[in-house]
Amino acid sequence: MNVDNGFGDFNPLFVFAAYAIVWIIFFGYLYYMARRQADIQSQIDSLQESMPNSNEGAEEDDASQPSE
Amino acid sequence: MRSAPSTLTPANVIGVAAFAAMLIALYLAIVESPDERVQGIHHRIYYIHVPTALVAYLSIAITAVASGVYLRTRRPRWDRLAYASAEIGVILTTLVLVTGSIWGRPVWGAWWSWSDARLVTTLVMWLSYIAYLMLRSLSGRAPGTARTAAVIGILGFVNVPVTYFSVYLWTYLHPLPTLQSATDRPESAILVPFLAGMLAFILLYVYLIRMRMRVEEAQQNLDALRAAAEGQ
Repeated sequence: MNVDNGFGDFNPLFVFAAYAIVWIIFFGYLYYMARRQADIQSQIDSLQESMPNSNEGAEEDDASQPSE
Repeated sequence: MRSAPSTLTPANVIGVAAFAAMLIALYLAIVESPDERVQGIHHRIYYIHVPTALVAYLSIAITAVASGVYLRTRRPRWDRLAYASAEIGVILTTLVLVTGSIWGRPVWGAWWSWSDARLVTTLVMWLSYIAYLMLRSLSGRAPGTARTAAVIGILGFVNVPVTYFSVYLWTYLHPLPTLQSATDRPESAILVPFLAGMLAFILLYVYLIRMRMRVEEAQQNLDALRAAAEGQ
């Protein structure tokens, strides 16, 4: 099944590329989520400062259905 | 005075364990694993491609189960789990397609083949969950979005067994599972790096799910606060 592909049969570049892409994507995703979490938290903090009595209702409540 | 939050949280422990397991899996796959007779060095891509694929199936199965439980209970926690798992499933399936193509170029002589059932069914699976994420993204928190997404999440799972068994049903380019087809290497030489990769990706999946659900929960809290602020 091995073919002459012009890259050489034992070119480590393909292996390096496969592993590098997986690690880069996962670290990129982790970084993106950490930034998003920090951004949302700062918005929550600034909103809570502007409305001091609004903590009720902002916490999670499984009985309420915010998605529906 | 509030004490500083502990850094030894379960989430952080899972994160560190996932990172350590990824490093060990990388070492076993690249350094310890011997070359394969036909594929040479390129068989090492298996040790990242196959665990990624199996954990992608797992994440899509969890999306389907969580969607089903959400439809039954209407508890937002299950919807968040389904959403988070679908997003991570799309990332994993993207990596399956990319690493598979990178493996295919030196071994098959082609990046992609439309004639191979495994490749095409995997692409269809990826597209169905892209549709799921597009629905969530475009509809926002409109009424009925979570319910519609849950139905797509369950229907999309139908493609998983089709994808998995496609190599048995329509044999073409994609090889059978390595442990069934390998004859020139001791099983442990394949099994140990494979299992290390599986453990690493399962831990990483658990860590990412926790993190993604936390972001979604914070987003829902922010939406509730905004609604309260507008109501004042």
